[in-house]
Amino acid sequence: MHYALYHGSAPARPPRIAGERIHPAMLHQIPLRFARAWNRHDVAAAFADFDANADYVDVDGMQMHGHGVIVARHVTLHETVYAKSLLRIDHVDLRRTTADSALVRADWTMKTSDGVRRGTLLFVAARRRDAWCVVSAQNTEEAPDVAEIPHERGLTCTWFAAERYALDAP
Amino acid sequence: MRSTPRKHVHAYVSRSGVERNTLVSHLPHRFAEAWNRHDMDAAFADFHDDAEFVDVDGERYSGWEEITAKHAELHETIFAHCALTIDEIRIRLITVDSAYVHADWTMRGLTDGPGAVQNEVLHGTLIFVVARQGTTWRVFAAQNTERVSV
Repeated sequence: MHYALYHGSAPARPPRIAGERIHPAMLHQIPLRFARAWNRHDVAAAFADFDANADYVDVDGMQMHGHGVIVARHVTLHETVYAKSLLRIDHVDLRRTTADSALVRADWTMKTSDGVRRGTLLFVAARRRDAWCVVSAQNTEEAPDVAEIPHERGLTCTWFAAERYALDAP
Repeated sequence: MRSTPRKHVHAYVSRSGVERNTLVSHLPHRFAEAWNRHDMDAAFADFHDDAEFVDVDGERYSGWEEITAKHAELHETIFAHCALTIDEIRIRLITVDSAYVHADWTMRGLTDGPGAVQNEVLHGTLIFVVARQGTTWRVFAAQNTERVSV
């Protein structure tokens, strides 16, 4: 079991100003900035909102810890599998969990040379002084619908359907 | 959608920082233990009424009632004989009153369409985002990602 509490790096609580609010648009912009930078393959900009100690779990379940590790890994990926990828943010949901923390959930579609992928990226954000930063992000890819299953897997489904029909037949 | 009222609520009571860390660290183990008993009310007892859950297939469930009802259905089919093991957990405080927990898991014994138990062993990471509400801690969001074998 690992405890990694933000001891030394815990942000100072910002001074409260009467009527002060962090505009929700600042949180909303996190996935939009991420996608714009992703599409420029500007990995440093894509993860600019991430904390130095941020965690990232990608769609393949690979775990990365620390801004430097996350960026380095994605630089490599953008030279290979994501070299021609195009990311679109379809929908963003915001949720404040406490005064200084929030959840930003972004539904995405990605075009790659292998086809279209969809998923959900969860950003866990913390308020640091006058800005929000991402302390953790986790990505999950949607399982493809039957209609979108590639040809070779479609054959497998057809086989299962035929088998079931044979079992149900009198 | 489930019509029966919520029950088996054993939310964490926060007394001190140390105790809070201990309580939050137990969350994935409590979840797995209830999961393996197929007791969905207990598995999601620590979830907020408006919590969101994204499963490994990217399916999103909103609210405690939908999360428990959908998982109760799944535990009558594909999860009927499965065993969930928590391999490792990592806790991070976001602020003094919010945190997230990463739980690495292994799952065995999924049931396929015709009802046969599969030999496949799955691995993944589940994140729980928790925040204090008064004297209790609640899960506001959980998201699951399967680890792809390479």
